[in-house]
This record gives sequence, structure tokens and C-alpha cells, in this order.
Amino acid sequence: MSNGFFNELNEKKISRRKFIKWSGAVSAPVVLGGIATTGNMVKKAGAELAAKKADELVLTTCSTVNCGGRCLIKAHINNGVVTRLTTDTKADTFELPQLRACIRGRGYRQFVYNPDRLKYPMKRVGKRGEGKFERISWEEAIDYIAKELTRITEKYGPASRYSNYASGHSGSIIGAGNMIQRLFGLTGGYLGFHNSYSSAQTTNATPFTYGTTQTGSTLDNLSHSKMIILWGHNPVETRFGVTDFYVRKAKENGVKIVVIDPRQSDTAVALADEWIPIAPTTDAAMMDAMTHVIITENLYDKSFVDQYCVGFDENHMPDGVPEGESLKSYILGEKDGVPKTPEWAEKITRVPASTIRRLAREYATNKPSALMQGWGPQRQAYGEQFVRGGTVLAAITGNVGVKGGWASGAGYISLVKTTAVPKGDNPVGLTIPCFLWTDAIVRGTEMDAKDGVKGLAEEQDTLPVNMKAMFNLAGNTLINQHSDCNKTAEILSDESLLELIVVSEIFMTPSAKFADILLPSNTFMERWDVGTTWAPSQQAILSQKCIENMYESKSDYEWMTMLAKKLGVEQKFTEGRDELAWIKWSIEESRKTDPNFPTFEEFKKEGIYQVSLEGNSVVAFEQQIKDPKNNKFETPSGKIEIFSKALWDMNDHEEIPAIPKYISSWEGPEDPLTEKYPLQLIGWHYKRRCHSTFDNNKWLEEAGPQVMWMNERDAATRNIKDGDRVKIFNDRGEVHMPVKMTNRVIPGTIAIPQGAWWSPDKDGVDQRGNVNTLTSQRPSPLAKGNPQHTNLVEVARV
Amino acid sequence: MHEWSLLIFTLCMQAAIGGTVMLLIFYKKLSKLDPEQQFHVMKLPLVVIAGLSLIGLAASFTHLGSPENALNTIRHLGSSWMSREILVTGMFIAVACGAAGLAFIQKKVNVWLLAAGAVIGLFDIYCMGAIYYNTLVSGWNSINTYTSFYGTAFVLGPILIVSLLVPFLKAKNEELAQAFVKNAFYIALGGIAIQLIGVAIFGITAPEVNQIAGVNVMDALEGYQTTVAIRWMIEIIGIFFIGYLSIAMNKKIPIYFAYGALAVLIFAEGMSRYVFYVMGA
Amino acid sequence: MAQLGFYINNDYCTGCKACVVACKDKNDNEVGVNFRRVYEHSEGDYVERDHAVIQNIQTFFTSISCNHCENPKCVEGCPTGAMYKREEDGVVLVDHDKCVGCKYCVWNCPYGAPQYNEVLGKMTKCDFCIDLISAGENPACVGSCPMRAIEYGPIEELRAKYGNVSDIKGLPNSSITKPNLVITAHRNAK
Ligand code: SF4
Ligand code: SF4
Ligand code: SF4
Ligand code: SF4
Repeated sequence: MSNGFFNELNEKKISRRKFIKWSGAVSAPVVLGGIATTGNMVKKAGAELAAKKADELVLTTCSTVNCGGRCLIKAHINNGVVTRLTTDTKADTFELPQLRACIRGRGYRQFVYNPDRLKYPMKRVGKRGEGKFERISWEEAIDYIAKELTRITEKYGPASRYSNYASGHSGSIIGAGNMIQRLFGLTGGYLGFHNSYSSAQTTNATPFTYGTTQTGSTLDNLSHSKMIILWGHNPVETRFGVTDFYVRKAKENGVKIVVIDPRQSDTAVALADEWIPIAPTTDAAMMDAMTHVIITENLYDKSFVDQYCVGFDENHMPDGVPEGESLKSYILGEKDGVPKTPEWAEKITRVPASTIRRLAREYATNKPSALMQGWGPQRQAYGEQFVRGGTVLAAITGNVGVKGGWASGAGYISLVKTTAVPKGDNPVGLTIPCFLWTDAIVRGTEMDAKDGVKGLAEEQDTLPVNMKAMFNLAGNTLINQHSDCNKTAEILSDESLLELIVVSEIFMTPSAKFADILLPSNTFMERWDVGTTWAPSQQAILSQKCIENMYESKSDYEWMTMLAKKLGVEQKFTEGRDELAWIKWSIEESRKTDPNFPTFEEFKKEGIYQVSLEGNSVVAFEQQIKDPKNNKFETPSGKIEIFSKALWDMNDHEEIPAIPKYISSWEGPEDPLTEKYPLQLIGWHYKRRCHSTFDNNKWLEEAGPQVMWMNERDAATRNIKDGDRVKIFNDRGEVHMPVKMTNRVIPGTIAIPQGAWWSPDKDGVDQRGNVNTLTSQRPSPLAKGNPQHTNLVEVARV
Repeated sequence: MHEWSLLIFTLCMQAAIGGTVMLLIFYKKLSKLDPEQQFHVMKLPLVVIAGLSLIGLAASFTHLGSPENALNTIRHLGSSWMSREILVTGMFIAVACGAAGLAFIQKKVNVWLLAAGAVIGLFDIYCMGAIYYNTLVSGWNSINTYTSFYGTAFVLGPILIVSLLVPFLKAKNEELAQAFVKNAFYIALGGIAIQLIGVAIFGITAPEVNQIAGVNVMDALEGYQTTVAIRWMIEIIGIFFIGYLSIAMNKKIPIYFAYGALAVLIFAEGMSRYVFYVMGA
Repeated sequence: MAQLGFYINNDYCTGCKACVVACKDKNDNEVGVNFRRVYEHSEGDYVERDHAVIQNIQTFFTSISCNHCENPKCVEGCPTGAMYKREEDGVVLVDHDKCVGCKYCVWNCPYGAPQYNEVLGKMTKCDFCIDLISAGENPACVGSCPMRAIEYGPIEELRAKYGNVSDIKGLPNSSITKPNLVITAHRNAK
């Protein structure tokens, strides 16, 4: 039965009646099109339906998907069914604002009660990637995994085992990825990874300026700024905590807000006084030109540069570097003969020289001002330069360490620290940049330090073995979110390369289709956790188990406990704790360092631990600026390193310059490939999805359908009309999807919201609109990060 | 566009009403025949009119989400044109069925019922027009709505009656038949003229653009220009049939010519109505 | 109670649609049924000078549900009297015992507020979350807006606080139904 049933499920043909029958069997709620009904819909108007039913239970939960919002969600539960969601209702103040859920949070019932959920463990029966499976029991699944894992470990060694970068269960203290590494660690070790797909370039580059990635200040600072530049930063759609709320407050206070972005993002529409469209991959050129204006018009903060920085001009250079390598020399073109003037930048960036000049003057003379970088522009071929360029602008204008200023760079800050369940040691001790996992499959034994491999011992040049066993738990980076889907699919399909792929998922995602063993995961509403957000983080939320596991689903920790038992390490793995016990343990651990951290009982009552900014306002590097004698930057020189000797010593001055420079990008607007593929392509975080999560949520699809943005001019020359289905293609692949004709994107650039589920037809043409069908696997030079927004394509009518 | 129920409803009702008016007009001329013969000739049209109005009624029911509440619809005569229209339509259907029924019982056509049907019917078309005219749908709140509805009645009504009467009449009174076809032809031309006036007025009104309606009506209709063009072509062909029939009756022209014209014109009016409902979609 | 109305701070609306989905969640509304809707309005073009582009793109979002109008055309046109404006607070509601599902109100409301429910065969619409209000909670949409751009209350109070504007670019003329709605217009919507 399972096979036929599964195919039906796969084709989303499962009928409502069948689903109700199914769900009835496991005493799941009555559903109408997948949603548990409250009876609200059939109420008669005027009927005084009591909002809060007498026996209603209200529990806080927290979406431990990879969302930067991590808002407060309250599940209203009646008879074991979540019938309604509400969000934060406490008093709403500037210092302690309500954490109101965004559109995604409001749609969670369509996620939890989606009839397409995976319902039982499955084993692949067709070719890998074909999506053909048969139903098996949990015992069979665990048996199979244990046997294969043991075989592979014996044959290739523990360094052949890998748990893929996966963010579907993150911001969590007991996340699936960490837990499998804990289990691997207890059974010989594994190949680990560093970096992330979100912020590799900035987390690697920012420390070369400041010695740390913790460059963020608390957001109340923004109201003290005179101007805020949101450079490729779109907190409204991406969701960075409650950044949008604080930008709004700043705007109310009269702070001028400028957004620089190839798209007129929703942030630009609602919050910006000015939107400056820019060609993708050219941000660093505009930064160079702004620096040029600031230097030549003498607008820089001379005493700040003298006192706190290294490398501004020839008088402030570290030893052992030849002349002409300072920032000033480069900007003025003393060595290469190219002064980085606004006119020079205009040709590259498409931003008028006059605009660059004006913005540079405004930023340098209206102090304090905040240049906040988004993470989008650093996901470029040379994203490191954008990161460092922003930090240098902040530094030379003296906007570092002052209230209302902003240090730029990665921008991490966290007022609340939670304690995760420890991963434990990894006896193998090797990590790769997470973006290079496909390389580790095909040429692992050639990968060395130049590929970003860390932890190599003296006598060890490369990884000892190619990757053979892949665990992809709660993530879609196995194909969808990795670059170049077609190439990835080819690698995964070759069963002689990876010999085992285990996937745990909630839905039949593109990644799930490549599983050998596919395990049905529960959702965050069915398990205990504590959630924390991306930067800037002000809160921890108790994510309570609201409902029982649906169908045969289990949490990753639950099945890993079974696997640990089979592998004979159950006690070491669990230390006798289930998830709830770990949560209680974690809370007690957190209380050791933060006495204000609530006890479990308090936490359960409030659901949230949110730190008020009153009295807790933080300005990054305030101490280093106020009292430099006693507070050094964590860089080798102890200063802000405009010029980094460490980078210089890497001896790849073209691609890894010691000062930030604009590097003309492959597949950028100056690449000769534009002859063939004249349009630049970028992705963006769509408000209706959290990366690829919720792509199959019909409420959210209705609110934000998958469309490609194209400027009217570009559409007109291609005879394309609004709503047409078009093909977007380059040498790596082809996508068919509808177009939204809008001038909200700069001419010459198209934008596809990232995260749509890759759906190739029989010719390999994606029919859904996954941007990664077209992106490249070529990593950035320093961080080995993903260059997702660096693409050239052409578009035509289908 | 999914207003098939309303499309069928309005076309049927307007054809039935136009037919009733035509019967009334022809009644006097038909009274030259003896009452028995008169009934014999008119019974088919009467039945068809009653039938059409019942089909219309049935179609209108399929439009309703909760037809069991249908009786509620006449509770708001004070302000709702829809209430009024439903009441008046109900009256027309009652009269149309009554006229047909009575004729069969008495073997004689009751001219007063026919007259009442025509008057109620003409008012009913006004009510139908008012339903749409008073909405906020851009394109409907135009004189065009009325002219289009009356036009349909005056195109379909005559052709309907002629194609139903003439086959029987021809044998009995060739001359009269010929006169009827001529009359029908002129009235249908008049119907088309009314529609054209409406279209002209529609064309010069500049509809307001608003983001809630999404697109303005001209844009909405842009994709239907071919439909509109074809509709007019078909309509002209239909009228040409009748025109030809009216001057060439005495020649050996098969009477099916009239049926053909009727079919063609129903199709044309259907297309016109389809485009009309596109505006509300 | 006095006539209730909505205040929309259009200037800060990000078009995020949290309000739309919060309302769907509260009311179990299927795809296609949206008691609150958000519209995007964008106009303008670029000037290209050599290689540089100068933009003049004006965009804004408008969030609208039902305005529980003073002169509700939906009520006026409803043949059954199902659509009615209740005395105590002027909230416009549908009595499902009366509604025949003729959808005429859809064509009569200039704001697109009435939303037909295929499963029920009845008209549905924003009921101002009167159940929540009477239980002391905010309407779902009001409490959901991350930008705090939606407020509700007695319309006279809202007008005293925020002024009288209910006509902005792209919305139908307020003289048609006299909506109980106050808007702070986005700079591009004036
Ligand atoms: S907004 Fe529309 S539905 Fe609501 S009261 Fe006004 S006219 Fe009626
Ligand atoms: S659908 Fe219901 S509420 Fe709307 S006009 Fe018809 S009867 Fe009235
Ligand atoms: S008041 Fe309630 S029903 Fe009306 S739009 Fe807001 S959430 Fe929806
Ligand atoms: S929730 Fe607020 S900001 Fe978002 S679309 Fe609705 S009104 Fe606008």
C-alpha cells in the first residue's frame, strides 16, 4: 500500500477525505484543507463566541526554524489541537517591545497540520533522487542506519561521516545537527564544518578589522543616530529580531534613512527616505568612491584614525609592508593610477557620481551615523570586500564605539545566552567550509588548507578520505539551498560516491528525495526546546510541546536515542535525559552565568525571557574607544585594522587584499560573459518563506507567490509581459517561472526570491523558480563562502 | 470568469421578455386569424417563453450558495435592486407561465396577460440593469448596462418569435409571415442600434483606476478585444440572415434559415454577455 | 458603544501581510478568502544617464479590511437583509441564517471586503473580531502588525487623534460609502 499511497502524496493528490481518515486513525484533529478548524468559520455573525474557551490551553512555542525573527507565538490548544495562534500581548515599550510574529509565524498551523507531512519512515526503492520509497518501521530504519554506518566507518574511517549544514532546526539548544555530531563524536568522530551559508564572508572578514564578529550594538542606539544607511539590509522581509521596529522608531525621531539595494525592498518602501539602486556585486566600488570623497574633501576623523587605526595612510602602516599599500594610496590611485573617484564608481555601480558624493558627505559630516550592513551583499564572489569596506567607512568617520554610530561588519550581539546540549569532542578534529561539502564528496582527498580545511595535523596535507556517509537532518542544503542544483544532483545520484544518505524531514522536500533512508520529523510544536534569535538577540523563548507527535513522526533526538542504543552508547549520548530533562538542565546551566535567567517554572509561566534595553544598552567597542589604554581591540595590532597584516601575509593580494578593495567580479557587470548572459541575477529572502521552509504553505503562497522580478525596460526589450511564464537560463541550468514586471528592481538585474523548492521536469528544467538552479559552486577567496548573488543569466519567453 | 449561471439567466429572461413584447405586437395582426388558429400559431412561442423563463430561474438558483434561503431575497425591497428584480422576475415568470397555461386551457390567447407580461418584463429588464448599474464595478455603472440588456431583448425576442411563428404561419398566411419577418428585422436592427449607442457612451467614460479593483476596466477588457470583434461579426451575419429572409421569403428559402439566424444571434449575445461579466470578475 | 473604526498608518506599512494571515488564522479562512487584504501600488520610472540610473519609483502598501461604513453599499444592496449594520457599534455583519449566497455584496463594496466562502455557500467578512473585543483582546490583525500600523477604536477618538483622511491614492472615493477609516498616508500615496 505504501508505495501507491506515497506516490499520491508525492504528487500532492492526497484527497481531503483520505487525509481525514488517516488523521482520524491517529486521533489527529479534524481538518479542513489541512487546517484544524476552530468552528470560528461557521459562526453566525453576532453570535457571542467567547474568545477564550473555558478549557483552552495557551502555551508559548518558538519556531526553531532558521528565522531571524524568533518571535513569540502562543498556541491556543483545545482538546489537543492548536486552533489559533496569537503573539506577544505584553505592554509595548521602546526598551521592551512586543515580539510580534511576522507573516510566517502567523501561518504555522498550515505547517504543523499540513496534510503533506511525512508520516512514517521510508526506504528508497528507486534510483537515488527519483523520489520512490517504501514504508518501513522505525526499527527497520534504525537497524539499516546502524548497519550501514558501521560498515562505512570500518571501511573508510570516521572522517568519511558528515552531518550537512542544515538550518531547519536551529536557534535551538538541542538541534538535530548538533545532536548527530554528538553521537558521531561518541562513536569515533566525523568530518565537521565551519561557516554558514548565511554569513561566511562576514564572519571571516569582520575579525580582520575588529578582531571579533561581535560588532553589533543594541538597537536603541539607532534612535541616537543622525542617519542610518541600510546597505543591502532588508530587516523587514528577512527579519532580524525586531530591527524593523527600532528602525521605525528611529525614523519617527527624524533620523534620515537610506537604503542601498538593487531592489526597492519592502524595507526601502516603508522605512527609507531615500533608496539608491545599485548593480549587484559592485558595492565595494561605491564604498571606495565614498572613501575617496571623504579623504579628498578632508571629511575623515583624523584624530580617530591616528589613534585607533592601522593602515589608513603610509604613516600608519605595520612593519614589513612595502610602500604604497595603505588605504589612502589605493583610493587615490597612487600605485595603479586609478583614483577611485565617484565618476569611476558610477560606471561600475550605476549610482550617479553626484549621489555617491552627497551620501559620502552626509555620512561623514552627520555624526553619529549608522552604516548597517545586511548579509546579502556579502554572499557574493568577493563579499569579503564589501564587509571590510563598510567597517573601514565606519572607522575613518569615527562612528565606531559611539552612541548612535555603528561599527558595521557582521553585527552580532547577544544579550541573552543559552546553553546548548554539548556536542562533545570530535576525535577526527577536521572541519571543512560548509559550502564545500560537494567538493569533499568528489575530491576530499585533494582538499587542503587552501580549500579552507581546518584542523589538519602537521604531517597531514589533505582530508584522509572522501565523504561517504551523509546525514542531512532538518535541512534543505542537500540540494535546494546549495549552489548549482544540477551539478549537486549529479554528484548525489552517483551511488558510488556517497554510500549512505539519511534525511530527516517534515515534508517531501527536494533534499528528502535524495534520501536512502527518510525519517519523518515532528515539528517544533511537538517537542521541547529553547529558542534564540539571530543578531541582535534580546530574548530566549521556551518552545513548549503543545501537541503530541503527529503520525509516526519523532523528534531527531528521539530517534537518535534509538540509534545510540543500537550503537551501544545510549547512556553516554543521553546521560539519562530526554528532551525535557535537557531543557531543564540547560536552563540551570544558563542560570549559572546569568542569575536573571528564569527557572523552568518561571519560564513556563512567562514563556519568554526578554532583556529590557533599559540599563542594558550596549555600544560595540565603547570601552576600546573610551579607554584605549586598558581596552585593546582583539586584532594582532590591538587596533582597528584597515590594513591587515594577516591578510597581507596570505600572499594572494589580487583576491585577498590587505585593505578592502573593489574586485571586479566574475559574472559581475564587467565580465565579458555579459555578451552572452546580459542580466545579473540575485536572490532575496522572501517575507513568506524562511529560506526554503514554508514553501509548501498555501496561505503563504497566496500572500507571496513565487515570481521573478524584472524591470519594465528589460521586459520590454524581450517582449515579456507581466505574469508571463519565462525561462531564465545560463550554462548551469534553466528555470521556468512567472514574471512580475516591476520597476522596483534596477534595470539590468532580475531577482528571484530564494528558497523555492527545486522541481526539475524530465529535462531538468526547474518549474518552480529555485534560484540555485542558476548559482555557482565557486567559493569566495577568503571565507570559501557561497557567492549566491553573483550570476549572469538571460531571460526569454517560454 | 465563472458567472455562467447569470449569463444564462439574463439571456433567457431577456429573450423571453423580448419574445413576449413581440407576441403582443404581432397579436393584433394575428387576430386576423380565427382564435383557434391564432392559438395554434402562438402556442409554441408561448410555451417556449415560459420554458425560457423557467430555465432562467433554474440557472439563477445555481448561482446561489444557499438556495434554500431563496425566499429571503425579497425581504429588502426598500433599498435593494436585487430584491426588486427578483420580485419582478418572479412576477414575469408567473405571468408567462400563466399565459401559456391559460391559453392551453382556454385554447385562446389572453391578450391582457400578454400585455401584463410585456410591461412587467420591460420593467424587469430595467431592474436587471439597475442591479449592475448600481454596483461599484467599474464598467457596469454605465448606461451601457441598460442598453445592452434591452438590446438583447430586442434582438433575440423578434428573431425568437419569428423563427417559432413563421414555419406555421407560412402555410396559412404567407403575406403575414413576410410582414412579420420584416418587422422582426427592423426591431432587431433597432436593438442593435441601442446597443451601439451604449457602447459609444461606454467608450467615452474614463473609468477611475483603483488598486482594489486591481486593473481598470479597459485593461481588463484588453484581452477580449478579439472576442468583441468576433461577436459583432457574428451578430451582423445573424442580422443579415434575417434581413435576407425578410426580402426573399417568397423564394424557396428553407425556413431553417431562421433557426440558423436565431442560433447565431444567441451565440453572439452570449459572447457579449460573457465579456460583460468579465468586468465584474 | 460608539461606532468602531480602523486607523491605518500607511506610512509605515511594509506590506508584510502578517495582518492578512493573522486574520486567516483567527477565522480559518481558506486560500481565496481574505477578510484583510494588502495592496501594492508602484509607479515611476528611471532616468538613464550614460551608465548611471536615477530612480523615481514610488511604491506604497495599503492594508484594508472592511471599514464598517457609515453608508454601507453592501447593506443597501443585499436582497435578504443578511448583511446588516448592528446598532451598538456600527459593525457590519452577515447573518448566515438569512444569507442566500448571491454574492451581490461583493459587487457593491468598493473595498473588496465581502469574501464568499464556497464551502459554506455564504458570504463572510471582517466581523471586527467582536468576539475578541468582547473578551478584552485586540482584533487579530491589530495585535499582529509588526509595525504597529493598525489601530482600532471609536472612530471619533481615532479622528481626533489622527485626523480625517480616508482618501489616499488608489482607494475609492470615500464619499461612496463613508468608511469608518482613518489613514496616515504614505508619502507616495498623497
Ligand atoms: S467596506 Fe464594504 S463591506 Fe464593509 S461596510 Fe463598507 S461597503 Fe460594506
Ligand atoms: S451574499 Fe448574502 S450577504 Fe451578500 S448580498 Fe447576498 S444575501 Fe446579502
Ligand atoms: S478585525 Fe478581525 S476579522 Fe477584521 S480584518 Fe481584523 S482580524 Fe480580520
Ligand atoms: S501587518 Fe502591518 S505592516 Fe504588515 S502589511 Fe499589515 S498593516 Fe502593513
